Amino acid sequence: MSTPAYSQPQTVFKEFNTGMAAALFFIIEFLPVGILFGAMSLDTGLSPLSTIGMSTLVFAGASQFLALTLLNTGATTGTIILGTLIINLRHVLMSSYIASAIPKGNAFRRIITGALVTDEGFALTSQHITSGSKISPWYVLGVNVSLYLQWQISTLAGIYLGNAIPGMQDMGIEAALYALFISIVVVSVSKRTDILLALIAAAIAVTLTINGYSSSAVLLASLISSFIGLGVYKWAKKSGL
Amino acid sequence: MGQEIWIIIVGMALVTFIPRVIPFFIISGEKMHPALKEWLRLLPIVIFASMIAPPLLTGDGQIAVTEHLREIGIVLTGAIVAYFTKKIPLSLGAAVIALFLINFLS
Repeated sequence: MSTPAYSQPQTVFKEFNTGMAAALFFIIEFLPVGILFGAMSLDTGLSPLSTIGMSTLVFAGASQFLALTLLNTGATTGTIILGTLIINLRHVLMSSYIASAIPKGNAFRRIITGALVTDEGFALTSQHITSGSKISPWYVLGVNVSLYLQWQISTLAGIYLGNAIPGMQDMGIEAALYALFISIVVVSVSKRTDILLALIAAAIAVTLTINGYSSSAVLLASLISSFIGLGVYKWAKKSGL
Repeated sequence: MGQEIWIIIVGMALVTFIPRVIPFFIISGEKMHPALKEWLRLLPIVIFASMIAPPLLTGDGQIAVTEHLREIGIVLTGAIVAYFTKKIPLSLGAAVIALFLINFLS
């Protein structure tokens, strides 16, 4: 059996590095957020070891902040774990998308690639897939490993610098992240109904959020609106449109 | 907070790991049903739309638009550049410039 083109050593190295480099600009987001997390974690009473432990083992910004918030309110272990599960179920959708665009690979590679899926990695990877083409699994892995290392470095910066950098959190860096996300929506839209679906998803997410279901808003809004979209697609196909 | 925190961390790690990994064992790119393909095509659109709308339009459990005008301005800058150029690095660059301009001018 001949080695597929995407797994020849030279290509592997090149794609991995390209992915690593492409993800580097996320340090603009990760550093302030990681510093905030590290500082908040120590304030909450976690040791430096458990703070970096959470970043290395969990590697999910939103749920790490959720855990700290819940710990501060004295929530039980079960509540914190359940909250994390609810928030992170959205990754099922992102992983499905990425899995469909890379060659399957062995179990070990699938586990490593999947374990490191994040919103940011999904954002970067999905830009290259929107055309429907396959991408190199090594590129995806490079992106994910790069983000993983950046999160660890940023958390360590938070542990050691603590609250030494005031004002960094007030800059509204998230806005750049949202700009990236909306740009992906804009570029991905190829049918008129797509715009409508994006608006429906946004409306459902906002409705859920103001009614107290913010932790599952992304998952539910994405599921409902994508199934509406699928219904429209099937109906259009049946009607021969 | 000694052992308890590690139980929490390991539990969180498991419930994060499982949803991320399972699809890689179920979905394969080869011979996909057209409907599954269409569903996957829609995912980035609806996921990102539902991720950005709440932080930009709500606050403290209510609709709150005026509090987020700066962010909305930055996001729209990115969206407009993306629409006309179809190039995400350009739109992100424009958004970052808008972010710094707004921060340093106000």
